[in-house]
Amino acid sequence: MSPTELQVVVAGERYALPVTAVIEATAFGDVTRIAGAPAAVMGVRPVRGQVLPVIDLHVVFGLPLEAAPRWIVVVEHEQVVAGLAVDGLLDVAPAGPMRPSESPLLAGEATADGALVGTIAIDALFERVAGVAA
Amino acid sequence: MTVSGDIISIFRGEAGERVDRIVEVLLSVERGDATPEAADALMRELHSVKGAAAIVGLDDVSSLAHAMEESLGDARTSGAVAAELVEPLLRAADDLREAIAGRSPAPATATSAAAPGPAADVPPPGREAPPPETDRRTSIRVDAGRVDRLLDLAGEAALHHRRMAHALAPEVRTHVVDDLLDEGDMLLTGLHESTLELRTVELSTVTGQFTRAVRDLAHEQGKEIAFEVDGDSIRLDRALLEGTGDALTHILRNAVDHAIETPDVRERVGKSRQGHIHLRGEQQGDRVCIEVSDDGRGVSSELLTRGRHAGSLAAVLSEPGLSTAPSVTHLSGRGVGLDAVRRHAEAVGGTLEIESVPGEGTAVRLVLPVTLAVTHVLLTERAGQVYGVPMSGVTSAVTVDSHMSLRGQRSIEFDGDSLRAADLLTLLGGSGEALPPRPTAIVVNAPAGRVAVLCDRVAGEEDLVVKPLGRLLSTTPGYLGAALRGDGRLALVLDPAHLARAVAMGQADRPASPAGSPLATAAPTARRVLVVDDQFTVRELQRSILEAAGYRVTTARDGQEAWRMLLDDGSADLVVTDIEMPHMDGIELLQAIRARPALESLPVVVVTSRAGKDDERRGLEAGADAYISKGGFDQQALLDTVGRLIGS
Repeated sequence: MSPTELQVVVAGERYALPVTAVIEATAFGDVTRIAGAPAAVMGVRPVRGQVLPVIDLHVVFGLPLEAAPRWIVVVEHEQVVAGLAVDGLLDVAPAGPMRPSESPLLAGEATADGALVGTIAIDALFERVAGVAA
Repeated sequence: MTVSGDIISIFRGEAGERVDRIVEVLLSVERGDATPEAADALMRELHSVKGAAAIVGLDDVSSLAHAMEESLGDARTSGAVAAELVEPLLRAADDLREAIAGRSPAPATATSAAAPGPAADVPPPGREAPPPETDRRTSIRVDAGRVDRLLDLAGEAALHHRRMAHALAPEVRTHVVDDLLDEGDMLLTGLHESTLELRTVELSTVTGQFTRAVRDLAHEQGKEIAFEVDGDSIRLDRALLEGTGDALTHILRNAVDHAIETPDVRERVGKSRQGHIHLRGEQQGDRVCIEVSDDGRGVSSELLTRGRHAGSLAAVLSEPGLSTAPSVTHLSGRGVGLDAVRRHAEAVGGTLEIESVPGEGTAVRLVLPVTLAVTHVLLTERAGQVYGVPMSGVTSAVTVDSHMSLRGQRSIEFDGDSLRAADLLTLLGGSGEALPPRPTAIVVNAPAGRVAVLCDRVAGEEDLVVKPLGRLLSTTPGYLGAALRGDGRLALVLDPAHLARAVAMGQADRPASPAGSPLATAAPTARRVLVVDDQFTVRELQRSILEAAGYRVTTARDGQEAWRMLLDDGSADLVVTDIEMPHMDGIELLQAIRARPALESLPVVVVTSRAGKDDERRGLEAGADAYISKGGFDQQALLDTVGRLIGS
C-alpha cells in the first residue's frame, strides 16, 4: 500500500508531500518579510485567520530562485503548521517504490516518468528551519 | 444502567469543587481559624458527593466519601473537628479526588514522598475546575474549547467587518451606509469584548491549590510557614492561566525551598520562627500584577550588585545556569525555574521583576497583560513595514529633529534624560533603507530603564488581535506575533522587553550612511572614514591606525576640502575632524554637515587639541557624536570611538 502524495515543482526539480500532511494549497499572495528570521523563512502570511510561516524550499534545497514562487502548500506536522513556497503543483498520486535518500530532509526518492521525485520529511524540514538561529 | 459521558463529566466538575471546599475547611481547622460551622460544612459536602456518586454509579467514590463521614462521627455531635483528624482527612480527600477523576487512588506512602520533582509535589493547577464563586443555579458549565472557538469567531467577525468597510468604494459610502457600518462595528466589538470576558477566570482558580501545596512542602522541609493569599479574585484570560499557574508554582517553590530559613536559623538571626509568604494579586489598568513576597534570607549582596549593574535583578537571577555557580550554592536549582518564568512572562508581553534585601526577604513580581487576545498597540513604520508596539510598553513617541543631539552611542534627549537609541531595523537584525532625516523615536520602558527605538514615522494606535508567529519562528527574537489589519496587511507586533534589552546592550547599532546608499546587506564592505586635519603627520598617523583596523580612509586638509568631498560623492561612513583648521574649521564643517538633510545622521568625531571642555562643548552642541583628545594621541581611543559608531 503506497501512500498518496502531492507532487510539486521547485526550480524544475520534483518533490512530493504525503497528502495526509497537506492541508491546502493556495496562491502565493502577499508574504510579510520578518527581519531577523532564518534565511529559509521567507516571512509570514495569513491563511484562514492563522499567521503561518512561509518556508522557501529554494533556500532549503539550495536551488536558484528565478521569480516569485507561485504557490504555497500548507502542511502540518504534530500541531505545527507552515506554508511551503513552490513554483508549481503537479499530480496527486500514489508514491512509487522509494529508495532511501542521502539527504536527511528527504524521506526517500523515487523515479516517476523519467524524473526523480524526492519525498520531503516534514519533521526533519521543520527541525532544520526551527533550529537555525537568526 | 449506563450513564452518559456528559453526566459523568458534570458530576466530576461539581464533585471536584466540593473536594476543594473540603480541603479549604480542613486547612482552616488546622490553622485554628475555622468557623463553628466547619463540621457541618464538611458533613454536607461529603454527603452530597456520596449521594451524587451513587446516582452516577461511581461506587468507589461513594464508599470513600462514606468512610470519611464515618471518621467525622464525633464531630457531628460535638460540633468541632478534632485537630488530629485533619491530616488523615486531607490524605483521604486526595484519594477521593483521584477516585472522582477516575484514577485509582495513589498508595498512601506516595502522597508524602520526599522526591523533589516539582510536578510531584505540587498538584497541577486545575484546568477543568471553574471558579467556585458563583451559585450553581445562576451559572452554566461550558466546555472551555467551545468558548475559545466562540472567541475566535467573534474576533474574526469584528476584523472582517473592518476589512469590509475598508474595501467598500468611496462612492458607495453614503451617510446611511456609514452609520450602518459604525453601528455594526460597535455591535461586533461589543460581542468580542463580552466573549472575551467569558474567557477570563479568577486567579483563585490556580492559586486555590497553593495553600495546600505550600503547607505540604513546608512540612517536608521542617519549616514553619504562614502563607497568605490576597486579591485572588482578579481575573485573567484563561489562555494565560495555565502558564501563569506553572510560573507561580516555580516561584513559590523557590520561596519555600531557598528563601525561608528553618525555624532554628530564623531564631538565631532574630526573626520569628515562622516564615511568611504572601501572594498578592492586583489589577493595574490593562495589566495584572501578581507578587510573591517572603521574609526569608533574601538574595546575596554579590547578586544584588550584579543586578544593579545589569539594570535588572530579575535578568541576573533568571540567567540559565546561574545555579551552577559555586559561589551561590544556596541558590542551587533556582536558575532553571526562574528562566522559564521569565520566558513565560515575556512571551505573553509581560515582565518579571525581583526586589530583594539580603537577610530580610525577596519579592518576585509577575506583571501580565489581562488578555492575550486583543492588544492595544502603537503603530509605526520602518522601511515599508508596519510594526506594532504594545502601548503598555511605550512611554511616548517623539520626533527627533536637528535640535536634539545625537551623542556618542547614539542617544537622544528626552524629558531631561539622555536615552540610548537604535534603529529598529538593525535591532531586529534586518537591513534596508536608512532612517529619514527626522526619524521618530519610540520611547520604550522596561525594567532596565527607558530606551529609544528609531523608526520612520508613527502610524496611529489600534486594537489588534495578535497571533503568535509559531514554533518555527520561536528562535527569532523580538516579536510577540503578527496581526491582520483592516486593509488586509499584517502588522508585526514587537516585544518591548526585547527591544529595550537590545538597545541597552548596544547591539548592532550602525548609523545609516548618507541617504541614497542603502546599508550593506550580506558581506559587510569596509567602512569608509574621512580624516580631516591641516597637519600632514596627524592625517597620516590617523590613516595608518584606521587602515590597519580595516577601514578605508580618505583625507582632507581642511573643512572646505572635506565638505567638497562629501558633497561630491558622499563617500564616507564617518568623519574624524580636527577643530582648528584654516578656511573652514571643524565646528563649521560639522554645522554644514548637520544642516544638510542627507548628511544629518553622518557620524562625526571631533578631535580636540586641548582636553578643553570648551572644544568638547562646542563640538557636542554643533552635533558631534563623540570627541577625542589629540594631546598624547591615544590610538586605542580613536579605534574605540570609531568602532563604537560604525565598527563591525
